[in-house]
Amino acid sequence: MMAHKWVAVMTGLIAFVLSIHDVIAQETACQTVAGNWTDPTSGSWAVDQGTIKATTGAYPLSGQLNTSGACTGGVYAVSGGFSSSSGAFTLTATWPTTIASRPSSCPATILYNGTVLQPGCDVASGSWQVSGSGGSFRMTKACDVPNGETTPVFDEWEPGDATTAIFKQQPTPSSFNYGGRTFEQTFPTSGVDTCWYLGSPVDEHTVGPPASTEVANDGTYVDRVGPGVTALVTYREHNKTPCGWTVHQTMSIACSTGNQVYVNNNILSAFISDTNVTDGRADSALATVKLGAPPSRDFVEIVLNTLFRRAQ
Amino acid sequence: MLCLSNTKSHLALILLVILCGARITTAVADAILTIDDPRPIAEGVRKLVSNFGYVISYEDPRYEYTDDVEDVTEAVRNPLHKYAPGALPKRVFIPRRANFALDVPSVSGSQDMAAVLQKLISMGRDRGGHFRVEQSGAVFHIVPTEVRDINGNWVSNPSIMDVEISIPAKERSESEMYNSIFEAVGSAAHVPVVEGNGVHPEGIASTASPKTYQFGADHEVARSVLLRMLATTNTFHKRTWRLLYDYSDKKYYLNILYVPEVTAKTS
Repeated sequence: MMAHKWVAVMTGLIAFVLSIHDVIAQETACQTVAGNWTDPTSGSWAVDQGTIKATTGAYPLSGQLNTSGACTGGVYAVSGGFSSSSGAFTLTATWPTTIASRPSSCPATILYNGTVLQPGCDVASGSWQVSGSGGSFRMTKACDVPNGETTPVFDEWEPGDATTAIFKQQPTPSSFNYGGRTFEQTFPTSGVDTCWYLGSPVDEHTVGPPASTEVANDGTYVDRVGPGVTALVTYREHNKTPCGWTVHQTMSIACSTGNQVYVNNNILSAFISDTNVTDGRADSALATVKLGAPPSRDFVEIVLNTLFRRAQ
Repeated sequence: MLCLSNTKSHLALILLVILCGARITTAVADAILTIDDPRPIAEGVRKLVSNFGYVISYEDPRYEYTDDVEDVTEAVRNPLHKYAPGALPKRVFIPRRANFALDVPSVSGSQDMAAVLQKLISMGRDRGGHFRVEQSGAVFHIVPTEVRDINGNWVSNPSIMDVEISIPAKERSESEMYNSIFEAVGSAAHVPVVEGNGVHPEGIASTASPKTYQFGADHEVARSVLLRMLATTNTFHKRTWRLLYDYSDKKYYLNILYVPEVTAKTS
């Protein structure tokens, strides 16, 4: 019997370590395990995530498990730990000592070792152990769909391309850390490009590129917006300036059940004048850089050469 | 956007054509692609990419003959009052506009698309440029072969993407990868290549630091290098390109085009 338990514990530990290894190989990991999870027996885990402990580098977990199935109606106290560097967690559900009469169908403790899975961080999988037996589990929770994003803040100009602004923002509510979740930008409707003309060698810019990214561990992401050096030079040379483009960005979060939109129409813009470039995001954040004097071929070549050298 | 599928159902085809808007009209069992553009072959390619979800690249010929281009300076540029006398901006030339209608039968695989592209490049052969189709599986390239010289005679116009290039292998960002290809192709083909739309960094990312990739080439055809680079830096979305030539500046602009997922397409 002891050997049987030892094998079960070791199996669980190996699975735990392997799950940590798998997630460490990725660039980011889910930063939260908090929420209401439903396990394969329809048991409901309400998990709260405390603040990180400096001594262990892990977040303490607490909460409650309401069981169903053979142990319907059981109410367990939950404790555990969560590693935000790997998305791995342990949850131990313990029958409360304050309730003396534990039905025989309800185990004294239930142990879950698992990992919160990307892209949506709304699925977790791992192994469970109860009274010497065990198995694997997959549990789910409702996707944490943001209700918007913070006002973008200009971060810096793109190194090597002084026409492109980098804006930083985070999904809201900002009290929740969306780190590790995957977000996508799409452009379902076309915008306007007043620089472009029929026959231009630079294609019309009425949509942005479809792109997806994992939100950084601090819960933020960046967005690059700008016309690019060549468009600046070409449209100034062709005496098209002042001109610019606007595109309509839709932001969504990737959930296990599909993408959920949380910002429907972010206006991204780039405007080229004879002396400046102004880039904008979400209509509320603008960044302007002074790039020279009224157009002349000498100036254009100076700009090109300067930027090209910087990009090397 | 899904505009056409390989379905043989007339009803479905008509419905899809309605979704596509007025630019595409139907015959009984196929569709007519109506094209009216300074670069009719390029525009045909763009519509086929959009409608069928195939990776099809396009490269302009290097126009030389004045009858193949059109001076649109007065139509496109702003008033000149801000310029001093004698310091006027350069004139703006674009390829001369042409129009035709392309019969596109239902496409149920790469061979059908190859046939459509052969038909496309056979249109309007009296001016602009002559092309060939290169195919590698479900990926196609429309490559220039001939252009009219300054006297109006058809002469060879080899693709700049046929050149072999070498790029020292090292970690590069996507921008640096593009720049290394531009430099290598420009140097080997003796024609400058610069960024067009979709090349400079745009869009969301987890951090401001760009991702880097191990990238290089050793005597590899430029077209293959660019194709490989696009596949390396974006595994989620298929992309292709339009390499458009500027007669005024005698240089190419590389424009990157996203290829939509067209679920009804088979390949």
